[in-house]
Amino acid sequence: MVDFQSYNKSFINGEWVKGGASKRTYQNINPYDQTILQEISIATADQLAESFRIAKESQKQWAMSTADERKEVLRKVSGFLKDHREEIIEIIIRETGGSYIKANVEIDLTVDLVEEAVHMADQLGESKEVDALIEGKRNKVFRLPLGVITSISPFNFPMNLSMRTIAPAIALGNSVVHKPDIQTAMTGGVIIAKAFEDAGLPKGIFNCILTDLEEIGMIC
Amino acid sequence: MLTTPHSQLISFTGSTKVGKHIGEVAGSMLKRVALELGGNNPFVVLEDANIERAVDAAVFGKFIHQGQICMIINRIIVHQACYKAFIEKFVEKVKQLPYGDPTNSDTIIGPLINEKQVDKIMVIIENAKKSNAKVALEGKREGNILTPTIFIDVDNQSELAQTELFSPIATIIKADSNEHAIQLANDTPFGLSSAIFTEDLSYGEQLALQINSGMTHINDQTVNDNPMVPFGGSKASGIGRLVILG
Repeated sequence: MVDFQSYNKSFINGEWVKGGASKRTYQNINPYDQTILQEISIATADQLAESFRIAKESQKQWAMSTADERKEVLRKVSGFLKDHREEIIEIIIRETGGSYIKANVEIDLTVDLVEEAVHMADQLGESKEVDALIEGKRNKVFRLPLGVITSISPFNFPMNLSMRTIAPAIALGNSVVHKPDIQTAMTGGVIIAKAFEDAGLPKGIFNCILTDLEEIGMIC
Repeated sequence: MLTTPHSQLISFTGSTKVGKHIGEVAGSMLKRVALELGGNNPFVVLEDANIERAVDAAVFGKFIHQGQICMIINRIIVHQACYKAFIEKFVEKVKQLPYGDPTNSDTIIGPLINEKQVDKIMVIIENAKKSNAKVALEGKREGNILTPTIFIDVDNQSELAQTELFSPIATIIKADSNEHAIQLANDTPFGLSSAIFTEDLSYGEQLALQINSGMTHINDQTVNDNPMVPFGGSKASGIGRLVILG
């Protein structure tokens, strides 16, 4: 059992951290009966900026990882989601207000996405040779990581709509700074962060920022 | 979040308004984007459709998660030949959808995400009624739960038909012909998902290619996501395709 509700913080550089100086909190409530699920410590704009710096630095190592290392992490993430399936379904129902059917669809889709992303890991480092116009020359085309991926996801199907960006990004040697809608912080962020932490993803590759627009603004 | 020099791609799922803003900021910094935005997805029932199956699919594709899905059916466009029969069966089914506490595994209709959202939807329903939209099923509000509302004989140009409802409101529009149905389906700034019901699969495929949307499903509803299939919209529904290639 993982008590996901007790994770009311952001996950930055491999650690669960409280919001910084502003000290603001957000009440994550069950939309059906208005009970409070969590009192979340809101991350600040400075912490967000710091996450991008960390993600950039950490990505250099991750880009050099082997396909097997990346696959191993993703397989463990999918294992984590499957092992904790019942608790996760419970959270989806209580946090997003979704039906039992909806919660099952969401977890199944998320697991499928992660398992499909495992196959992507091989695409890094492969090169394709393309004919040259001039004899004696050789052309090679490589697929390389992009770097740091920014991910912003909504409240409706937060887990799969986050994972469809995160899993391929990590499979292909990128790092991620992810901001789920804070109304569904657990389904869209905490559970995913916990899964990657459990899977042994090196620190700084996946960062999950629990914050709101009042704190960070959307303009910047 | 958007202007950091350290990130090379922004992936965003959400409203078209915010998506356009993100696209502008990203463009000014030459960042790549994957923007999966709003939809106004048509569910088209052609003259020869299997009505029973079309009704079942429409109920699922309209009401799953209380309609709060970008791919949700937003307009149900039905050929005049089967219009009456479709409405009759659809209303009958929708009436019986269990609503209430989502922790009860029988519940289909649970709460919307927050009270503000419910307030917003109530205004949409009131405005539609004021503009004389015909109600085939009246919904009611209980806390954050809204039970299904069904409007029929809706004008495709009306505010109701042209709004992404994101709620358990079904909007049914009559089409004079199959061609007219496709024309109505296209008459929206959005283009995320769409669906066509017909017993003639090759004709369905031909018409599917005439709908300008990122994805079109034949004899299925609009809410489909397969990790192996390119996912994304055209027109105001976004840029980029989320896909995992095997």
